[in-house]
Amino acid sequence: MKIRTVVAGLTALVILASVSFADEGHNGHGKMGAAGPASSEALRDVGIAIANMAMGCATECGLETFEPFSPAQPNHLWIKASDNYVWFLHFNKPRNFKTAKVVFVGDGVKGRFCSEDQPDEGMTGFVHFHRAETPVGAMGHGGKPGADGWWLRHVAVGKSEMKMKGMSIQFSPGLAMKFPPTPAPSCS
Amino acid sequence: MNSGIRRSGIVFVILIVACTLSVSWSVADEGHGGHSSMSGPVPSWTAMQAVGETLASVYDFEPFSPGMPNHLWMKTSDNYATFLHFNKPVSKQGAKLVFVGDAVKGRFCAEDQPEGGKSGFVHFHRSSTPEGAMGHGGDLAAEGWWLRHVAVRHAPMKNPKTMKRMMLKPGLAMMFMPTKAPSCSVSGKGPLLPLPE
Repeated sequence: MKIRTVVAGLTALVILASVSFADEGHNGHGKMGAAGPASSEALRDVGIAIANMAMGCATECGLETFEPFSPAQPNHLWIKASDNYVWFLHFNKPRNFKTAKVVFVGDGVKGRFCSEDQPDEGMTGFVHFHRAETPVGAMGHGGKPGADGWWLRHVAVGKSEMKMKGMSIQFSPGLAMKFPPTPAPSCS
Repeated sequence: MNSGIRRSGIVFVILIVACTLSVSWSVADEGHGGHSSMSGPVPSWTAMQAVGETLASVYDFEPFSPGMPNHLWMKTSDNYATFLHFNKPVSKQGAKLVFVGDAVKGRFCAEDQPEGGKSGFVHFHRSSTPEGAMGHGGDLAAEGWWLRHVAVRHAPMKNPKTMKRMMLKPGLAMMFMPTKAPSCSVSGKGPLLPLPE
């Protein structure tokens, strides 16, 4: 029932999805200046629009979200921007939880677990590799040399904590260079 | 008596485990480390509606002067920013998100354009623009930001060259107002090259 409601809502939004922004959008710099506080309606649309896009609703609505990893990560929401580039939201709990809160935004570049494929050798924030395929129950960080997957860059959008292998990593807003780095081997 | 103690012991252990789980409620537990429960659930409507408010609390940067009222920016490092781009000023009711994107600080030089634009940084916006003017491109080596846009819905906009209406498809917006940058090294405004011996 809940799923039906959500799908009905998303479908309705798809119909209204095409919006004109030519006059007041990027071309509208003649109206540049202080924005003032963001309207609540605009802010509510942010997550909904991203969720729509993630579920393919921007083109043809589907029930399946784009998942770059198998098994999927329920606490992420992915936008497939191109064949080798993704943009994502990372929540503190599965995205179907009402209380899920976004803790990172980020992007990913498709590649292999090879130092040669790591964008800018990690200096621009792509410090974490997640392999495409992982056995259920296992972590997908790093992998065998040459494993296929995605290099990820995370931007913390608040204070958060990550516990991993007995370690605690604290994040504050900004580029998350401490997001568990996965030093990659050379594949050449 | 012994079984009672044993039962109490089991209850005690369960309580300890439950407390441990609730105390370490963090990103790791159900976040990146929570891969054991992987699936592709439908996002919660409530959670999605709250995303914008969370982002707005840290999207408080303004890289351009004058500011763009239809954008929200977050400065994530000295030379990198992320943004949300709406169809109208964010203060207006009815403003809709059209693009998400990121930006790399640089000059209006071909040498500063990330990956020569191949990864999506096709649009340069200079830092300072006279009131009323567009900030696209600029003088040779003008300071500003290289922008990459990802459309989250169909986005009708004016083609800046023809001024005709065009439609951007959802996804990486390679057609977002490309600003062909000049080479600054040829002009002498780029990094100095070592003199031949």
